[in-house]
Amino acid sequence: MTSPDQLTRDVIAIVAGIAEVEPHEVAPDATLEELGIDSLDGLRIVAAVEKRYGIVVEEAEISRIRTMPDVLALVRRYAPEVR
Amino acid sequence: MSPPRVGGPEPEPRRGAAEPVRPVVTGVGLITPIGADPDSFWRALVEGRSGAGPVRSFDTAELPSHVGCEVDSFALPAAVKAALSGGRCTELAAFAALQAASGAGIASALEGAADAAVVVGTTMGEVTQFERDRAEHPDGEASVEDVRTLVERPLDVMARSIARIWGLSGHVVTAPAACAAGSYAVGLAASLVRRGQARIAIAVGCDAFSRLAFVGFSRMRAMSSDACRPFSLGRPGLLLGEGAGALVVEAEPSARARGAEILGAVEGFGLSCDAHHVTGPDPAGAGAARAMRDAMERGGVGPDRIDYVNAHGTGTPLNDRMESRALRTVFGARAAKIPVSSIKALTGHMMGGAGAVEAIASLLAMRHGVVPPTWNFVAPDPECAIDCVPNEPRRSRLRHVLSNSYAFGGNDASLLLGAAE
Amino acid sequence: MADAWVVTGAGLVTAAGDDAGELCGRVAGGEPAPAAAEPPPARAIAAFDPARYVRRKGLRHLSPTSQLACSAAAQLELGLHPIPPGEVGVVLGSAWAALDSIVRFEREAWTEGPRFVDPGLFAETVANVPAGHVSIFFGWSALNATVVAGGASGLQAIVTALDCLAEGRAAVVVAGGADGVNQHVLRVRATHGVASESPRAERRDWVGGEGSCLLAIESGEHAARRGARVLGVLRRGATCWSDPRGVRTLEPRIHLLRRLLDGAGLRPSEIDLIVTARGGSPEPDEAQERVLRETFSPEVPPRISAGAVLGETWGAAGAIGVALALECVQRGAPSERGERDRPARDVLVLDGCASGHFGALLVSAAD
Repeated sequence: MTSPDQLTRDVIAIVAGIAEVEPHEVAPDATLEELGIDSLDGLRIVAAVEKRYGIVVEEAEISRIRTMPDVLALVRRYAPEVR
Repeated sequence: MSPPRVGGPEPEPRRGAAEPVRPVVTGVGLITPIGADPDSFWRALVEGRSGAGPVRSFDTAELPSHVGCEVDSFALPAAVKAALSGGRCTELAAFAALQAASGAGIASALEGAADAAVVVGTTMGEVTQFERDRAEHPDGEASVEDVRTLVERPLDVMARSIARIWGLSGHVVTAPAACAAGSYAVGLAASLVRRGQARIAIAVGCDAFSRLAFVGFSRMRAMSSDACRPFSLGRPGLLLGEGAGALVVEAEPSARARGAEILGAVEGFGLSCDAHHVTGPDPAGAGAARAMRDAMERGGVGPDRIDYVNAHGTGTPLNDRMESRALRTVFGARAAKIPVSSIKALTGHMMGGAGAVEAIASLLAMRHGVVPPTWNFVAPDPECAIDCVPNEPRRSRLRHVLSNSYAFGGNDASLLLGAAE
Repeated sequence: MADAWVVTGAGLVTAAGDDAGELCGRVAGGEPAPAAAEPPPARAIAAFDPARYVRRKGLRHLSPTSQLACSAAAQLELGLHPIPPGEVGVVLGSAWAALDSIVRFEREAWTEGPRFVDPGLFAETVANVPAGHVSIFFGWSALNATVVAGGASGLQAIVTALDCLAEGRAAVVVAGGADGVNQHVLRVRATHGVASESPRAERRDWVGGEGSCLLAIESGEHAARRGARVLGVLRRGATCWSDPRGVRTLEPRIHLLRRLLDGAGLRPSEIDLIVTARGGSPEPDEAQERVLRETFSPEVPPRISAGAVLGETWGAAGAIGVALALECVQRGAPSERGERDRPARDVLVLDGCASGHFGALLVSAAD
């Protein structure tokens, strides 16, 4: 298994901060619900990655974000140049 | 030194009746985006005249939506305006309170009354001046002059201002309960009268059109950018509104003794709390169901005798789905047959004003024998399996009406209103 | 005592700690909590960390009012176990409620832009949300209400709670008040004088403060059935507002106190102690003295106040006053000697402020 790239580590750090857990407690395949993240926190996560990566996520996509892989895929899709 | 009182703790001593007193409504007043008096308001409700339009109070260029439900310009008597501390929310509240007192025929009798109460419910209170001042210099921190209006007009300023109009002293209460505040004001006022702590109580729910609330609801993705379609499939969200509703709630013996016209009765006030999430409703609707049952139990009226439910019905996907579920919990199979409608399709969400104005709408519905429809309905949502009286008023004899309001913090309130006999 | 309303728990968060006994000792000894150095001065709670009280996530982003309310509530949780949380209600009083959050949200909406402003911050701008958080964290869902009555908000909340209990809306109501140090209030006051409508008010010797206090209130019968320890009895309470600009400002208060005492079957001379909420600002204190002289002539009972220790705690003040009163009826009130050696059986707690709100509550020792 390859080690998580920088992007994954950074996004995990953002999510961990909002979920009030340590980064190592955020499994890369966790659901947001498992992490205790509610709808308000979900909006915070989107706002944080938008600011961090200079992207603007379309409204319709926001409600479809349910898991860590969803968040990572979103960032990769909107900011493909980021590693 | 005497021992603690035996024989049951009681609130203040009641004058007169030993039984609980029936609270009746003897006057109503309102100012809304669809009318500034009960008659024009009622006509708008049955004719489908919407209060929605492009926002005028502030610039929405940078905001995701540009539509809201604002009140047209209105005027207060100069002497009253001078007596108030100023501020749009206060003036809306005073306008409604004066209209209600005048309608009840008590405007002069209230002067200096010792047994009259004022109960106000609001969400944001007096923020209009602060918002305007900040908009003029949005960069940097708020100055001392900016925040001065907030500090000198805290949330209880509307209640004190209304009390001051008539020189009242006594119960002058403010219950901020967000979007349920209007219902809280009516319910708490009725409770004061029922327990004999006030002979007359002026209940007011009010909120002014707030940029802060507009941005907040937009940010939470709860706001529609065109119309408000309660209970409809694919409903886009709420529209922000503003307004005030006032009801004169009076002890029935007092109302009859002075030959007042009785517009209806507050038969029960139900309360509960979701204890689930600060902004989102509990999807199971358990708290909403408990509040409805509480109101009916207190009023001694079973679910089979409810003729109409005036819904909270904000038009958001979450609320309307939850409320429909709560109605099914309470009414069972009958939930698909009782007329249920939301006037927020026309008025927008008047926040603190909503619960009070909707209580007035419920009384008007009983008086006219007509259920006001849910306008802007386009298609049924299978998750809202109720009869929402779409787009057409319906004649019906209405004796008991439930009016629901749900708020941030998970506050759930239901008023059981009874027709005038 | 079976039919009385009793207090079975008190949660406190103040600049002099969270123990009512220690606070009472500080009041007896006249030791003020330290005031922050930078003007305007305020007796802030040093190193306040809600995580010390509430072992749950989600508090970090909340307003000071929310954090203070939840921290006081957390101290009641164990004592209410195992009452079903659906039988517990919450009534919170706050003078300034969400003012701080309103200013913050407005700033963020302009600087960050409407798209990036913290959505949770919008919730904190709504005055009943602190009480909502208490219900959410602890599951107390019978009812939830917030009341605002200026500096009398704390007692107003307790009086409203007694009404809810009398109406059978809950088996237990957690009631009291919370307000954080509010820099905006302090700045306006320092620049423009007392945020008051009385023309005679001066600013002198006045220090802001903060805190929260929540009490668990139930019927004596309910407490006895579940074997809860009773801290004291709440005999009766009442609030009123009278226009400070009016000519008859004080009469309604005197009338209220007389009715309260009559209803409790007490003569004024039978009141052992008066706990007042305010401290520092002369105008409301002077008015209060006149009310007391009229009601209790010829001799006004001894008075104590947490105001000199904590500064102005606004919405928390009345509830803190009740917590002090409960301490005094259990373990003696402070005397002139600075010791807790004055027996106190019936205590009158007062709360009020310059904008005209006034509240009074009779607290008695449990049998």
